[in-house]
Amino acid sequence: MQCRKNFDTFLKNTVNLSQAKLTLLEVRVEAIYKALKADSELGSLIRGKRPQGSWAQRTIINPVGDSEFDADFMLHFTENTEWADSPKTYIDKVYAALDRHNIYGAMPHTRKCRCVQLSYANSMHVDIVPYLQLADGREVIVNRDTNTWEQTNPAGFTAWMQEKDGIANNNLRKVIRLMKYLRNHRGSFTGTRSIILTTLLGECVEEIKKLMDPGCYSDVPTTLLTVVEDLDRWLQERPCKPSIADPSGSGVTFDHRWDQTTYSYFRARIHAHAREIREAYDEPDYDRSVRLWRKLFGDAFPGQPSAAASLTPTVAKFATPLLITTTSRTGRAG
Amino acid sequence: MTKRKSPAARPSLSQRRLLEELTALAAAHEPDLRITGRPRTDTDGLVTIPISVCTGGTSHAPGGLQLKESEDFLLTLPATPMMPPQVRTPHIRFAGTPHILQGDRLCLYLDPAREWDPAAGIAPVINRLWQWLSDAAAGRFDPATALYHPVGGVLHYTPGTPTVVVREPVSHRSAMAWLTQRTTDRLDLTSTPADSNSHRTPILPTDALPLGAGSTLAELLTLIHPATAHVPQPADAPCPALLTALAASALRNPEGTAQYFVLAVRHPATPAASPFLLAGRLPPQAGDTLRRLARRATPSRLGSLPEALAHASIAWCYLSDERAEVTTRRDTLRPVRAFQDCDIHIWGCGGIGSWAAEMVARAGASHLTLCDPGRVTGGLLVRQNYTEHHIGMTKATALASHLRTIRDDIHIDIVIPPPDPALLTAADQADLIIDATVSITAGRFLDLLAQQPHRKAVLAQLATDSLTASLGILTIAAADTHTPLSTIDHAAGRHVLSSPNLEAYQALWAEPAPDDELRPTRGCSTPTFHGSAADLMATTGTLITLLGIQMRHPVSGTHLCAQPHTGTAPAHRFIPYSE
Repeated sequence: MQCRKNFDTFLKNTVNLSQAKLTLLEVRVEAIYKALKADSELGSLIRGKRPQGSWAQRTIINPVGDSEFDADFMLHFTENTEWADSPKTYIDKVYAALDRHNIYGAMPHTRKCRCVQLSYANSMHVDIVPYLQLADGREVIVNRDTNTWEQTNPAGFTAWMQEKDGIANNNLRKVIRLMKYLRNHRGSFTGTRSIILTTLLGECVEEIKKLMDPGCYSDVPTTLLTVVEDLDRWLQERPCKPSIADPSGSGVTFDHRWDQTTYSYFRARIHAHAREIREAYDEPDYDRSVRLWRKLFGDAFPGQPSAAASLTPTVAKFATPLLITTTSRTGRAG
Repeated sequence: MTKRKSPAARPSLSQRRLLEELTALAAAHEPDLRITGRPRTDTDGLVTIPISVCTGGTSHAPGGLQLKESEDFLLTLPATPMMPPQVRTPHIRFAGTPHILQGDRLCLYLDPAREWDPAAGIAPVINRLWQWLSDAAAGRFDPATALYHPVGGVLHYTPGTPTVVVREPVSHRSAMAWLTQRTTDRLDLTSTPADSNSHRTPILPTDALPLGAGSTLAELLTLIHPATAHVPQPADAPCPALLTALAASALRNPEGTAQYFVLAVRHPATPAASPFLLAGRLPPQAGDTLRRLARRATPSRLGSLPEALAHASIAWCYLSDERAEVTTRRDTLRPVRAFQDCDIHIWGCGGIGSWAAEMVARAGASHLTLCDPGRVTGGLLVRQNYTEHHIGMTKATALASHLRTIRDDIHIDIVIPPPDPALLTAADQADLIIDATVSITAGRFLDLLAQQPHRKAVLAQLATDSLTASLGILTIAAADTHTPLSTIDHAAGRHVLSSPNLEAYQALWAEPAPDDELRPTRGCSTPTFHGSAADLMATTGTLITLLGIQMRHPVSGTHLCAQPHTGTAPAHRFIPYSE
């Protein structure tokens, strides 16, 4: 069975990053941005900010246990020609600005390959990614390890994600979250980066599929089944690691972000998951279906009472006589 | 100097190709098909070639067309290859036969767009001619259904004229009727004046007009009664009667106005049946001439056609013949026919109710009672049956005004929604109550009505799902049961929620997930469902059709349905309710 309601509960209570944490993230990013904008040396070069990665694409999920959750944001710079030969200067300058700050200077902050990471005491960190539009029109971020520019197209990626999610009736992002949950919380296909997972899942979503198989993206479990089976078919045809192009159209690939070993493992795990998802989805008995979904997602997958219980009132603080209600009209419209 | 002749028009490439094919065909089928003369090209670029078809062996049945051993025809090839060739007779011996147009043209194609292929060449045309002759001789043509048969088989229509709508019965006797302008494109013909601007319009009976009705008054009179224009006729002859009726009407109509008339043409195959109607218009100058004529002499003494009127052109108006006796409703065999002449309540005029109301109104419901105090706002136009004109009105009022633009003859009441006590007798009077409110209060009130001892109405609840508006649910309480709809719905819910194969429909009995609803206006609107006009029209259409199927012999129970694009299986399921 699809157990759609169980998936709704699972996403809401377990997988999704809570609204409270998302709000906290927004507040903190805004504060960091204001602080950097106010910096006497760096502030005049800063043009704006925009969320990046899973935060921007709304595929961010709860961290495992007490692990930190993180979010990236792009710090939009005006190009400084004096730093043209040394792109990593942008990262260094952001690091230095945080160092100078009376609050952030005292908080753990480090330079990473493409960002400056600022850590909070209560299980979160923020990655600040310098981003520029060069005079020649290229949109770039910095690779500090190689001291070079890396092309990017954040707007293109967002547009791609919106298009694919739209085709999937807004179920693709939820499926990506579920698959990230399998990786992070269930230890499956570890080593596969989020950007690759997101790209591969998203590229499986196609408009033509809806014409050939109406309803294939009608809800979360059906979209999960459709996308994972399509991805499995695609992977099974490719024993060797294929080239994965950035769907934003930046012209770069993600090939350097994994190797054949990681790919083979990912391919094998997706093959197993496709079979498990199909088994759980096709199981006609509700309890057995829930057990199969739990086998995949773990005990956090809710084993809530079967849908038949919807007709009986939930336990209330103030008991009322059992009435046959007109209908549980809440799922209806007119 | 000799005068140089202008070069003769020559057949086009496509015409030459058809002529070559015709020559080859005639050579292969001598003597059944013969070319009997040279092709001639006229100034319009039409090529006409005489042919002869051997018809000696054609089977003849009583009432069929009498054919000679061979029949001559004129085959005309249009200048453009995108128009079908035409076949005419060099005589009018076939006039009056079904599918003969204006006495000499054979109607080979009822619908050329679907019956004739421009790329197929001449052979199918000749075969079509042969088939036409075989059918005509064997009496296989039905004159009762032949298009425009009483008036020479052709549409009488002059571009730019308004459409005349006729809904009242018209007899074979002379009568005075009234034309009232409804819009710039529409005039209504009625037996009594609709308002002070209604104009007198004579209805003039006549026998069939196998050669058509002409394009001038003189032609018309000649076709109705040959030689009228030249030979004095007795005062009671039909043509003076026609002229007299025209003059008498014109006399009472304003100066400077065109004079309309309607010909009630006797059908040659069924003379006693309702006449075929043609609507014509004489220009204002002719109308004024008629008025002057009528003032000088008693209209009944008008004996012949004055010269001034002889060449008055007649503009033929498209006549929308909507008389019940000659009209078959297009939905006559469809389930919604069950709503015809019904008294129907529709509670809730939103995404489902507004479309349901239009569907039953179009299906011929005689009386609608609407209730919905909600207000029409711009956002609703995305999917509800309202227009910019309705914004600010209550939904029931707006819907009533919209439905009145669809049907002149529908009676619509607007009432206060349940639990208004005035509705307590609704089920005793109405044939059907449709609750499209998704309101628990309305549902409870309907439960109350279900138990009324003298209930006549079938009770129905319509709803869709809040995530896609592509699933539908219809719960019905037949008139012969006192079971509340809520009980029927509850039983269906139990069945659905325990049936894995109906999992897609379980959402109809479950609380919506956060993403299942949306807030259309931030901070100013309660959550609503996801759905488009396409979703709601389709879902409502399915539900109304299912309800129509049920109306004749209602069975209490619940219908579930899903639009094809949902991929939901089963796409329909009826769960009957048993006590």
